[in-house]
Amino acid sequence: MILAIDTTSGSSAAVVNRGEVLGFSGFDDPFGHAENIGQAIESAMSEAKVAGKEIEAVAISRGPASYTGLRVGMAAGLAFATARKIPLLGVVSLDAVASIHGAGMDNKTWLVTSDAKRGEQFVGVYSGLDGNGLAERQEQLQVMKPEDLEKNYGSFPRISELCDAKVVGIYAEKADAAGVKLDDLSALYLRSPDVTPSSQKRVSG
Amino acid sequence: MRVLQELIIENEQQMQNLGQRLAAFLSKGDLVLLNGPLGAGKTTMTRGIGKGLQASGTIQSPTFVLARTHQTPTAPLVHVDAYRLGSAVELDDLDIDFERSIVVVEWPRDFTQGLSDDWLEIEISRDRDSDSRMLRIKGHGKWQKRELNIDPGN
Repeated sequence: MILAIDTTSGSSAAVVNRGEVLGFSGFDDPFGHAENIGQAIESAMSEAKVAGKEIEAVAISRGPASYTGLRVGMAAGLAFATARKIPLLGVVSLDAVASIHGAGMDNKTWLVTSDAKRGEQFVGVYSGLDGNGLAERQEQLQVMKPEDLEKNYGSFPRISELCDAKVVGIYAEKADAAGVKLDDLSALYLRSPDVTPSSQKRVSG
Repeated sequence: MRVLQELIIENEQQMQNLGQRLAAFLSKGDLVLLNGPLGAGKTTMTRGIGKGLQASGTIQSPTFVLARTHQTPTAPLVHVDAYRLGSAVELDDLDIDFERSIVVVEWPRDFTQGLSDDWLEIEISRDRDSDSRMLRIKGHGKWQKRELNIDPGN
């Protein structure tokens, strides 16, 4: 039984066991993750009627998503897993969406996109589901302007369902059972912050 | 872009008055960029905007905190100092709720590009010989269609 946490857009938590969602709670608000995630976890677990000690692993969304929200969910998952001494599984949200919502795409190439702000999109390119029902990503994740997306991938079907904890939980369970390594726990911002020395502004005097 | 108003501000009180009266034009989703050298009066103008919006708390230069949110009876006022930000990505990392707030950004450079189609830009320059400030208020997007004729008082 796993607890899944997603803060890539709204904030949500789910308890998943053998492909079944036993409890789910989500907030659509794209802000307020720190205020909402605790409540979401508590509600999902109480709906599932499970105690903390029954959770065997925690799955977290690694993004791509914006910095603050993403970190809130990842930190909550890390805290839960550390306190319970159970495994933490890192999930790329677009891979999870591709696997859960991509059923029926057969062997076509398709895209999963999500909002990257400033008019840009996060893009994952997938081609078919493998025997375990996991979508196979063809290329590195990208951030693209709409015109480039149209130019390069305009003819491909596109899935732009939002990720949530249900999708993350079901995917993590499947992938873990199939032996996919989910041990990379780094956050994916895609536009990694440039590291520059701070400017020398005098703040007093 | 269209220049909506040009005016000369003689003192701190006028700068604050201007901000306060400008606030009457602002609502949820609006973005105001303040450009001008150190000590030009950007924070003073923001203090006026805050007063006009009946914002809670003290408005001060948010250099170290980067962004400060003040509640108002309408939309929250988010006061950003982008001086210490190294790139647009770092502004994104602040996860500011532009759609549901009134956002005032000091030292914006080009970091706000693509965030909104509509914004007000206020350029403040200092007169070499006196203490007065020259202001140019420029409208982008939907702001080009609006008329501003703010009297900063005395």
